[in-house]
Order: sequence, then structure tokens, then C-alpha cells
Amino acid sequence: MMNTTTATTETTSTNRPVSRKAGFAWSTLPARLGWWLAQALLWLFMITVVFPMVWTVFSSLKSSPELFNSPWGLPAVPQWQNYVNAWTKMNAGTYLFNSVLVSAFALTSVMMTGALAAYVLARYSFPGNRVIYFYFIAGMMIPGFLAYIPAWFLHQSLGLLDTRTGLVIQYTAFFLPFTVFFLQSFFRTLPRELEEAAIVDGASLYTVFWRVMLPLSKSGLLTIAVFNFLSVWNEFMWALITLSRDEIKTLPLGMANLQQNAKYATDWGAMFAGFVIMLIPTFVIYAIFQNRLTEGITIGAIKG
Amino acid sequence: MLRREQWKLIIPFLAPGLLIYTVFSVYPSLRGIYISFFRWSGLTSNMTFIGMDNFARLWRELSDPADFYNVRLYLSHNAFLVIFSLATVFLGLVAAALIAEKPRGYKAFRVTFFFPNVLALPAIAVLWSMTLNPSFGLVNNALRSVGLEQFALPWLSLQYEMPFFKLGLYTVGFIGIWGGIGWFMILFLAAIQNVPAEYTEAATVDGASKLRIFWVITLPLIWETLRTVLVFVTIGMLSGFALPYVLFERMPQKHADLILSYYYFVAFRERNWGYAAAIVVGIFVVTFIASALAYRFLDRDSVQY
Repeated sequence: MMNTTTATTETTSTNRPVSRKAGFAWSTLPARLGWWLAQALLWLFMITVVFPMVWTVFSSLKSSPELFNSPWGLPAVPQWQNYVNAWTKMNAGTYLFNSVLVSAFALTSVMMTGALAAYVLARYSFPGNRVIYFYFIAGMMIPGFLAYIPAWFLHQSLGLLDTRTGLVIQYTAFFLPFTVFFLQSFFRTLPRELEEAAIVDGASLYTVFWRVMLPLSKSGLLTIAVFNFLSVWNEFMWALITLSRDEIKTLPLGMANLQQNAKYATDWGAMFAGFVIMLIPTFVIYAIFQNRLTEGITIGAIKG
Repeated sequence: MLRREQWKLIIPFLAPGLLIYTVFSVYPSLRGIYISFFRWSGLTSNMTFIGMDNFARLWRELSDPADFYNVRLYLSHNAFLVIFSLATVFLGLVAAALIAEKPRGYKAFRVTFFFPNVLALPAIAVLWSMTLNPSFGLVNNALRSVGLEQFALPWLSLQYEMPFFKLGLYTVGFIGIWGGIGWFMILFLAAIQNVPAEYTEAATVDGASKLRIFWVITLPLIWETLRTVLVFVTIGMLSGFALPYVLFERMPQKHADLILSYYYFVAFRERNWGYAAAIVVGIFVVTFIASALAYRFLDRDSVQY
């Protein structure tokens, strides 16, 4: 085995004679050893990601004594009761519900406002276009914590403090700059011909946006939507600062509670189960949209 | 020429975004700078203008650390964790370079390495505090079962002595590496795959080793990406807070607190809003200068291709 020449030679054009074949460094012993070692390290790191997750799932099905006596073994009898306890006693259901609600509304709100703004910034030249664009982009450079205290007082005076509505509005404001930045550059790439053809056919400018441009932008919208979803879903600091009622807390706060309670808890199995419940949505989203995420990072990196 | 009809589209399309962003993001940021020049308890609307006094206090506390809040110690934690951030970038680059060679299972590496990046920070904290639990945790049990009892340490302890800092802070650094490699790996992987194949092929034909090709050809060509990443690491160096906050108990821990934790305590426990705002503005200014310096310092005539 040892596909020593790897990708580089696979793509080598055939008309070029591979002359000094002995010069291939992979064929030397130290290089081979180095390659083996490097691969071993890759596997090792993969284990540090996969193994704790699998172990957590197994642990969530164990009774507390079993957890201490055989931390390595498979659960003797799966303790599904742990999940019931986590759902009822650790409020996992409440946190999950709040997170779904807040994420759904915040995602809709940031995508709507972001797409509309990005669209006119990308497709219409009008006085002030560049100024407004950079005004939005500046938000990506300013750290969020600069705004936390005054925003807290703003929410207090508007009666938004400790409400889910407050979270939705603030998340829209926080994640709008990146959304505008991303979608503006995406909308710019769309061909002008279709737009013009639709106008010739008598479509209004609104119709062009809804019926022509948005459907063409599906992939870009989906990529940024995945990003925004994860940002909102995982947001911790602002929620920590503004939410105090347990019944409206989101999952990251629930996780932090779990962590805090871990020091005094006795029902370890339920803790593991609560953790698994809270993690499932992230896991599903990642499994479905993993490609979108890596693509989004790549685009962001090239443009930024 | 802009017709009226177009303005009828432009204004309603821009208005909602501009409004929310201005009211809830721009205004609070500017207001944050404004209140850093005031003494303000937040209980009343009474704000006393005190000029640079808040900043002077911050400077004083830096040079003469108090017993309870030790700003200089917190800053040293930030500085220490920067080493781990740089290690994360380096390891991400190494992982990308290796995965670009498409070893067996490279797709699985890509998917699993990135996974920690989609976890919320509290989730990472919970996962690792379970895994590192002294009695039933995965790590110490593994060490015991292979006879390395003496290495089964209290990983999350802020009492356990290590060179310079407590063991817990080292663990925070390692968890940071674990959580961050994937992001940098994806970034560098994209950059490496953008390098035209002809260059590396030509060098391969000429008998250059993989390592040398990477060093002489690939690295200069992805320098711009590396530079951007390093600037972002500089920006992030003072803004960390949440991981130690969740990992350890939610109160001043002294041996794991970062400079932003200090801000959090001053703001949300002591309610000394003016001073807290000054801390944040101070962090922002230092970060801005540092990242601008990093950007200049890392400027190298990048190779065009």
C-alpha cells in the first residue's frame, strides 16, 4: 500500500516524462516514517473528537453506580429512564423549546432584513450605496462586548430584557453585518440578463426580486442560513447577560446550568442524557449541512 | 438614472435592516465609548463626567494589582492562551497540508475535525468536564488502565501547580486547541487547493521532497490566508471569556480568569458601568492596535499567481 505519490502524480499530465524517479522523497525511509507518524496523529485527533461523544451516549444509558464501576463498559441494561428524568427534571424540554423558538424567529428576521438590504446594495447604484455598505460591514470588526452594557439598558428601557423577543431582535442586529456582507457579494454574481428580460415582460421590481432573483440565490441563502442558525443556536454571552427566568432560557444556558449542577448532582446518568438531548439538534444540522458550512468558510476567507 | 419606482424599492428594502442594526448594534457600541468617560452606577440616571479617570484607574490596577481582582494576572492568562491559539493555527495548517495529500480516510478527518466548531461553548465545557472527571472520566480511567496512574491528574483543578500557571488553565488551552483546529484546517485546505497544481507537479518532477515543496511553494502562495488568520487570532486574544467561565465555577476564580471576565464582574456584579465600559474600550483599543501591527508586521511581498 502506501500510496506514496498521492494526488500530485495522479494529476500529472501524461506527456511529461517523469525523469528522476529516484528523487521521490516519499520512497526514502525517514519520509515514509514521517508520513506514517503524521497519519497516526490524524487518527489520534479524530479519536479525541469521536470517542468522548460515543462515551457520552453510552454513559447516558447507565445507572449512576454503573457509571463509576464500569466507566468503559457498554450499559448492561439501557436506562431509558435517564432520558425521562433529564426531560422532566432538568428542563431539557423547556430549553429545547426556547432555542427552537428563538432560532426560528431570529433566523427568519436576520435572513429577511439581510437579504433585502444586501439585494439593493448589490443590484442598484444610488448615492450612498457604498457608505451604507461599509456602515454594515463595520459591524463585523466591532466586538460585540462593546455594545453589551448599553444594549442591556436599552433592552431594559424598552421592556425587552428577559424576553425571547429581546433575544430575537438583538441576534438580528448582531448577525446582520455578516449576512449583508455574504449576500451582497452573492447577489452581485447573478446575471443581469434575466432581470432585464423579466422587466421587459412587464414584471415589477418586486416581482423580479421575489420570483427571479431569490430563487436563483437559493444556494447562497442556504449557506448563510446555516451559519446564522448555528450562531443563534449557540449564542451564549448575550443570553447569559439578559435572561434570568429559567422558563425562557435557551440551550447554551441550559448546558451551563448542567455544568454548574454537575458539582452537586447525584443523578449523573440524567446529566449525560440531558447533554445528549441538547446536542442532538446540532448533530443533525451538522450531518445534513456540513458541506454548506465548509463552503461558507471558504467563500468568506477568499472574499475577506 | 434612478426612477422614482426604484427608490420605492430601495428605501423599504434597506430600512428594516438599517433600523435594527443602528438601534441595537451601532448605537450601543458608540454609547459604550461615551459612558466610559463617566461615573455611573446604573441605578439612577445620574452620570458624572470624570474624563479619563476610569482609564487611569485601569492603568493603576495594571501596575499595582489589587488582591481580589488581579488585572495583571488576568492579562497574563490571556497572554498564555495566545500561545495555544498560535498552536491551534499551526496544527490546523499541518492538518490541512496532510489532508490535502488525501490520505486514507481524509473525508472522515475533515468532517470530524470540524465538528467541535459547531458546538456551543457550554457544550464543549460540559463534554470535557465529564471526560476529565477524576472519578468516572474517560481520560483518567484510560490512564489508569494502561498503568499510567501517576498521570491521572485533576485536569480541571485551579489549585494543582504547574510551571507558571495552574493545571486548569493548561486544560483550557488544550480544549481551545481541540475546538479550533477544524476551522483553520478548512480555511487552509481551501487555500492549499487553490495553489495551481502545475507548480507542485513541476517541483515533484524535479525531485523536491513534499516537505520542501510545502515550504518553498505552497506556504508563500497561501501566505495571505495565513496572515489574515493570524490577524484574527490577535483580535481574539483579549476577547476570550466564556470557556473558563463555564468550565469553572461562575465566580471570580483568579487562577483562570481572563481580562474580559474582569469586565463581566465589574459590570454585572459590581454594577460599576462606567468603569466596565472603560475596560471594554481599553480592550478594544489595544486589540485594534495589536491587530494593525500584526497586519503590518506579517506583510510580506505575497506571491501573485
